[in-house]
Amino acid sequence: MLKRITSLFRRRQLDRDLFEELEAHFAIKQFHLEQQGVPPREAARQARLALGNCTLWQESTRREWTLPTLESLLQDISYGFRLLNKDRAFTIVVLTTLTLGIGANTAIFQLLNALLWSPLPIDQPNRLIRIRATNLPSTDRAWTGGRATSPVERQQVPYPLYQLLAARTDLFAVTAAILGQGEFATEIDNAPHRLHASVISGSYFSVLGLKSVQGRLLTPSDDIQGGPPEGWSVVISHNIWTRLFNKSPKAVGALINIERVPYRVLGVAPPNFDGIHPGVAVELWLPMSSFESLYPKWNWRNNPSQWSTRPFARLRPGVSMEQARNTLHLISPSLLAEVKDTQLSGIDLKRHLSIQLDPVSARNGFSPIANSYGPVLLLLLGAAAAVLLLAITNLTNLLLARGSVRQSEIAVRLALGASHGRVRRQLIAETLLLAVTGAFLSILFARWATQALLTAVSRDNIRITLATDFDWQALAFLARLSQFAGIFGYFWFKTAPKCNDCSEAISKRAMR
Amino acid sequence: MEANRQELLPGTLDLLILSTLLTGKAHGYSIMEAIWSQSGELFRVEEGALYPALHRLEVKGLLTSDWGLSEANRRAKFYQLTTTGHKQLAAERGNWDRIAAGMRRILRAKGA
Repeated sequence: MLKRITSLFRRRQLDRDLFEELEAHFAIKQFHLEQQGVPPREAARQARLALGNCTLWQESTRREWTLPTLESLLQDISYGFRLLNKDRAFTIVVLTTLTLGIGANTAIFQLLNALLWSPLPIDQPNRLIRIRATNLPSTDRAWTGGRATSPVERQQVPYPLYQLLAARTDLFAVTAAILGQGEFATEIDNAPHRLHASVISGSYFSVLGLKSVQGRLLTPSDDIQGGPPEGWSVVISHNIWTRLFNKSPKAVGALINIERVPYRVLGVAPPNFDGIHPGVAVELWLPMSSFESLYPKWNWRNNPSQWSTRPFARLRPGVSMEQARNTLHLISPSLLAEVKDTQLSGIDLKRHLSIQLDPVSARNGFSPIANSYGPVLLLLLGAAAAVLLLAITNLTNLLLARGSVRQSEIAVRLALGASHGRVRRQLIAETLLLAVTGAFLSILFARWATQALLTAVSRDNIRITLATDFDWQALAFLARLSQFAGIFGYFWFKTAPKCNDCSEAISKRAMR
Repeated sequence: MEANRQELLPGTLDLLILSTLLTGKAHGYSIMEAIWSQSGELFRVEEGALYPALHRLEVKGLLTSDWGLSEANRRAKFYQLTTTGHKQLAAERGNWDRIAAGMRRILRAKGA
């Protein structure tokens, strides 16, 4: 095997040797014939008589040394390159179509996938739920042109209500809340940064079932009113740990100032985790009680009309989503009766009590961006897919047209003794070449398009960042494309002439 | 001469080549001639079959080759058995003897 592979690289030497060997054979044959008394001219003629087969022998002898399939594959590819280079207009059209079509689809798909479809990188994401309030009083709704617009649901509840929910351990294994999320002025090593922070309850990380990379994560004991005796702590993202702390283990215990309040770094979150709002990468996690030190005037803890807290929970093992929903619907009125503005009365009170608490799956996290852009992106994906379909149809026609143009070329090859398999392989290699190049270009294009889309979707207050790992997708695309190429190559071949049509096709060529 | 030509049994060409090379190095033409004469002018090996076979045996490591001067006073490639070639030949020869003996026994039994 090794001999065969190395012989690939010294083909010329091999060919020369073979030729010389065969020449020698004839010379010796001629010599012997002359010895037997055959006149020299006749001897040469007899010796050369079989010369017509010479190429054939050389070929079959060479086959012993080399890997014929590999060699012919390389030949097919280089021939394909030459053809595509010759017919540049065709090549450019096909590659542009593939690049734009596949690239746009990849970019939109990638964004949608990250925002809507991919599960959070946490323990058992299917058991994670969030609790929303539905059936809201109409006074809470915004009105535009006589039509109620969002919110038809609220992702937040008052903190006292969250506490009541957290007490329902018959439904939820652990319950946690997010008080808010946004950019905070942060000072690390006397250098100012604006970092995206999530203000969370101490139970946050245990609901998600995450483990720290360094130090430890926040627990309920770090999130007590007035702060623990050793002061406030903060969990930093892996990204921040890498970027601002150089992955130093000394980061744990370091003091950083957030909005001028000192926090001690408690630990580092796992590398792929950046919060439960896909698209918005959280860099710091602060205990929500510490928010009272940052903004002492905001009373979210006791005020029943401050819908400030986003509750989410892990379902208690054995409790189904259905059970949780039924129970929550059932107990909603009594929970809301406990948490109400004392000034509410009459119809307003009735409306308040009819609010329903409703669990929904938070497997994919809950992203405000996905809420507002999800449908638009889906529509865009639909459009892009339709365009790709059209493009592919056009490419099919283009390839078929090219196939009929090339009939005579194929006929000549068949007539010269190329096997049908060989011609088929040639056509498949050509389409594969186009497809792989197209896929490669489209990956480059998609990289750029994803960034462009992200910028378009981002706003001042929300900076969307996505971990864009392309590798598996690129591979999947390549795989799909090679199928596509194979199919085309095959059909292409189907339109190619059979050997009995050869003479006709060749004469057509001759007439031109 | 062409009339009593005998088709080679498939798979026997390698054995024939190895066995003609037992007497020493030889080039392609002389191997052909040797098979022809040693078989009592029965087996004629075509050039188109001989050379691929020689190269196949060389790739397998049963033969080595080097360039030398032939009787026609020109460079030719000479083939020679390797140690593995010798072993292979011995093994295949034994094999062949068994096959031939078996065949003979069956054919005789039917004939009688």
